[in-house]
Order: sequence, then structure tokens, then C-alpha cells
Amino acid sequence: MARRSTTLFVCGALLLAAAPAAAGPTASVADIKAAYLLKFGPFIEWKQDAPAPSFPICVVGENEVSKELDREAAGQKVNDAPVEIRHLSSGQAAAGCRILYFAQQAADNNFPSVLTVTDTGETPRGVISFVIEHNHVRFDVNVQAASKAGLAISAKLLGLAHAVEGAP
Amino acid sequence: MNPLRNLSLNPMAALAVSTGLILASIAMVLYQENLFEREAARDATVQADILASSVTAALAFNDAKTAQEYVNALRANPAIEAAAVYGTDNKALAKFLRPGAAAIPAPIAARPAALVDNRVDVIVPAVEHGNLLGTVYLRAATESTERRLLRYGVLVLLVAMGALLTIAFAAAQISLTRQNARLADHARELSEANNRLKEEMEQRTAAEEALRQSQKMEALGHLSGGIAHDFNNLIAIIKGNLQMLIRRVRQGRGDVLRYAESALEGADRAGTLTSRILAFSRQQPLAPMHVNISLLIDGMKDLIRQSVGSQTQIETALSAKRWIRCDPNQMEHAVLNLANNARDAMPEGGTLRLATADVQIETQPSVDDPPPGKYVSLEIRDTGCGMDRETREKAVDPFFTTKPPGQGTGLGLSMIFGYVRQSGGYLTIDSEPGKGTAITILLPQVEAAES
Repeated sequence: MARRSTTLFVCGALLLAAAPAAAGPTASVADIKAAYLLKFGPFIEWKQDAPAPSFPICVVGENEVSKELDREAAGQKVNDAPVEIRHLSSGQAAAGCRILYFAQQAADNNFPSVLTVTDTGETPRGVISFVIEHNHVRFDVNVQAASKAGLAISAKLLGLAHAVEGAP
Repeated sequence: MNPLRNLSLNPMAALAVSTGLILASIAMVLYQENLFEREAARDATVQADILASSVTAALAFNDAKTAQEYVNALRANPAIEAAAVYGTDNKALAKFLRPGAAAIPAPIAARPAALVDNRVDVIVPAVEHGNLLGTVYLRAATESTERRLLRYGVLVLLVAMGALLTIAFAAAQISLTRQNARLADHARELSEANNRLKEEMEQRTAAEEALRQSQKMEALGHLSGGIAHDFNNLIAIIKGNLQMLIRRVRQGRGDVLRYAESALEGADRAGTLTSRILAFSRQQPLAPMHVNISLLIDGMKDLIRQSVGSQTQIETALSAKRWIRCDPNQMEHAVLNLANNARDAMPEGGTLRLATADVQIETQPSVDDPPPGKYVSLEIRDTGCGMDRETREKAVDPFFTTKPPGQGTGLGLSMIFGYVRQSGGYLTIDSEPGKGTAITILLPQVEAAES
């Protein structure tokens, strides 16, 4: 475990070299969002946990983030499963996805057992939606939507959220 | 009661107990130290794990602000000197270093807690659902070695005191046992000495008894020899006078009265001697009456002259006027006896002086001397050979005599002494060799009215 962690750590360090630079002037918002998409996994619990040989991150549409994601995802693992990027034409084929990123406006946000992430700021918003605050990439979390989708969001993630919506 | 067994067992037990105590204390210190290290390591690891678990999200999303908040929360614990959160890129996301503390080392892979120089530091991985997100470094100061040693020192000191007490107790017991043994030896020696002493005393008593018996036999010999000699003399006087009387009668001479009287006198003296012996043996009671000693001596002058013979001059100085109370016959015997002694002390002749006086004694030098009061004194002094100190001290002892065997009983002065004491008087002897002897009899004065 330690050896594998170290290997992962070294690869991650090379691949994610741009991510910590988010605060810097050269930081690309798309880089950071792509990195975030790869990091949400550990803080989410999928209640219907079908055994999967991979950790599928599905993308609808295409933008700078999806392109960056394609580059960064190679060799990445989440929860000990290799990350697999699936490009979908629409959200209707999202069954089996762990995370569903809408690079364009989402038509729907009700996907059971899928963490929906939206980026446009337009409704319907996903369980997680990116926001920009003071030139920093942040995210809002809608716990009601998460609950509806059968997801449990780690309090640690909620602690970092820009805003937590739908809380009872 | 086996002192050897006590001696051999107690020090061994004390040594064993002391050694056991000291070993136990050393083991305790080692255990404490080990426990302390383990606890310090565990505490630091737990703190680091808590921090690592808290900052996983902040690490994942590069949230330095949140990470710093978690790190700052550790400031509340004064023992924590430094803490840092590293991302997987080995860059510090947040750190905290107390002023004056050593710098935070460059990040390395997770490693278990290590205690170095009173500080425990540890690096733990920050993992969320098996995803390595970074590492957390934490360093905490532990109790200083000096303080720990002090703590252990107190413990060791207490144990050492206990051991010392045990040893001291054992030593005291050994000493006590030895002293007891010594005392028992002393008691045994004393008992033996006592037995020896008893034995010696018994032997001595037996020897004294034997000596007394032989002295008695010797005294009896002296006494009977002296009596026989006296009677021989008296018989010789009576016989000689009677022979002279018979011869004169045969010659038809009529002047025989003197011989008859002399013979009678000899017979009287024999009777007197017999009564004296009887008095001595039967302790005849005295018949005291009022006596004027001057008159008594004056009346005895002829008798004394006759008794001491012509070689001895007789002087009298009879100045006593007061009365005394005594048995006059015994007093006469005493005077005659003393006069005879004086004569015997002056074989070449000399002067016998008889003096009486009324005296008053003011002080009593010792208990043996007469107490202050009024007395009548009678001094009988000769110019004879005198007595040395030894003879003088023994002079009144019964059966002591300086005369050759058969010539004195040794009872004369003894009887006089007894008689004087019985009459409430005192007898003193003043004599030195070559300067004569003075016997003084002191009797208390009495009022003349009774007679």
C-alpha cells in the first residue's frame, strides 16, 4: 500500500504540477476544475455501490475543462479504481457513471447514484456546481439533490464548499 | 536459640531484600521510561492522524486557508512545537512553527514517531478512502530528560532508603544478637566466679573453724598451765612456811606465828585464785556498791607492796574525792592484777605509781572514747619495758599473753577490761617500748547520797 501510494504520489506530482499553481497568475481555471473533478471521489459515498472495475467520470459536451480532464485523468485512480473518462452525448446514458460533468447546460439533474457537476451557473444545477470567487475556483453543494440522488457528501467537503444549498 | 543461625541468615535475607528492591526500582525506571517513550510517540501520532484526517479535503482542493485553520488549532496544545501539511507535490499547504523551535525539515515519506532529544516527531499520510492526498508532519516537545530523571531519582532515592533501612535493621539485629551472646557469656562467667567464690568461702570457713579449734586448744593449754603454775607457787609458799614452822617447833622455838600466817595467806591467795577462775568460768554476777577509789587503793597499799616485792617502789597520789559504783572485790582483784603485771614488766625493779583523780571530759574524739561527763580516774603506771603497738592492740584479747607458757593465763587484762566495761567505765592503755606502761580506768562519778 505504501509503495503504491508513493508511486501514485510521484505520478500525481508530475501530472498535477499545474494544479497548486491555481493561486498563481498562470493558473488555468480549466486545469483546476479538471483536477477537482478527479478529487471529489474520496469525499462522496454512493449508496448503491455497484462493484466496478473502474471509476467512470462521464462528460456531456466539451469545453476546456473536459479537454484538460482527458489529459489529467490518464493513470489516475480514485478509491483504488482507475479513472475512466466517458464522453456522452446526453445525460440520458449516464447509468453507471460515478460523476457526470456537464460541460454545457444540463437538461436534467436527477440521475440516481450519480454525482452531477455543473459549470454554467444556469439551472438546473448539479449536486456540485463550480463558482468563481475572487478569481478562485470554488464550488457549491446541494445536499438536497445529493440526498435525492442517493449520495452522502463528506462533511469535510461541505466544510470547503462556497455555499451549501438545500440543507434542512 | 542458635545465635550462629541468626547471624548467618539475617544478613543474607537483608541483602536479598535490598538487592530485590534495587533491581525492582531499576526495572520500574526502565519500564517507566519505555512506557513514557511509547506514550509520547502514540500521543504525537494520534495528534498527527487527527490533523491528517481533518485536512484531507483542504489538501484535495488546495485550500490553504482551511488547512491553516486546522493547523492553527494545534497551537492550543503548548507541547506541539511544529506542524506542517504537505500536498502530494511535496509543497507545504500550511505550517506552524513556534518561535525558537527548530526548523521544519523538508518533507519525506511517512514514518513512525521517533523520540530524539526530548522531542517526538512523526510524519503520517493524509488518506481519504484510500486516496493519498498528502502528508502531515508534527513535532511535540516531551517532558525533559532532566525532569524525568528527577522523577526517577525520587523513586530510586525512596527505594534506596528502603534498602538502607533494611540493611540497617539487619545490622542492628546482628549487633543485638552479638551483644546478647556477649551478655550471656558475661552472665556465665559471673556465675562461675560466684561458684568459685562460694567454694573459697566454704574452704575459708572450714579453715577458720579448724584454726579456732586449735586456738581454743592452745588457750586451754595456756590456761591450765598458768593455773597449775600459780597453784604450784602458792603450794610452795604454804609448804615452805609449814616446813619452817615444823623446823622451829622441833627446835623448840616459839616464833612460829609469822610462818603460820604466811602459810595461811598462801592458802587465802589460792582460794582467791580459785574464786577468780570460778568467776571467769561461771561469769559470776557483780555486786556493785558505792566505792571511794582513793580509800580502796589506800587500803590495799600493803597488799600491793607485798605482791610486787621489795624491788619495786610504790608511789601513790590519791586525789579523787568523788564516788563511783562498782564491785569493790573485783576492783581489788583488778588493781592487784595490774600491779603484778607492772612488776612483771620491771624485772630489774622500778617504780609503780598509783594515782586517782576526779576528771571532767569535755569532748569525745571518737565513739570508742568516753563521752563528755564527770569521771573518776585510776592510773597505774610503771617504768617497765613498755609495749609495742601490736602488743598494745592485742593486750585486752582473751588468752593473749607475753609471758612464757605456764606463767600467765592471758586472761588478766581481758577480765579487767570486761569488768570495767560492765561497770560502765573505760580502760585505756598508754604505752611505748622502753617508756613504761600506764593503764587508766575511767568510771563515771555517782552521787554519794545512796550510801
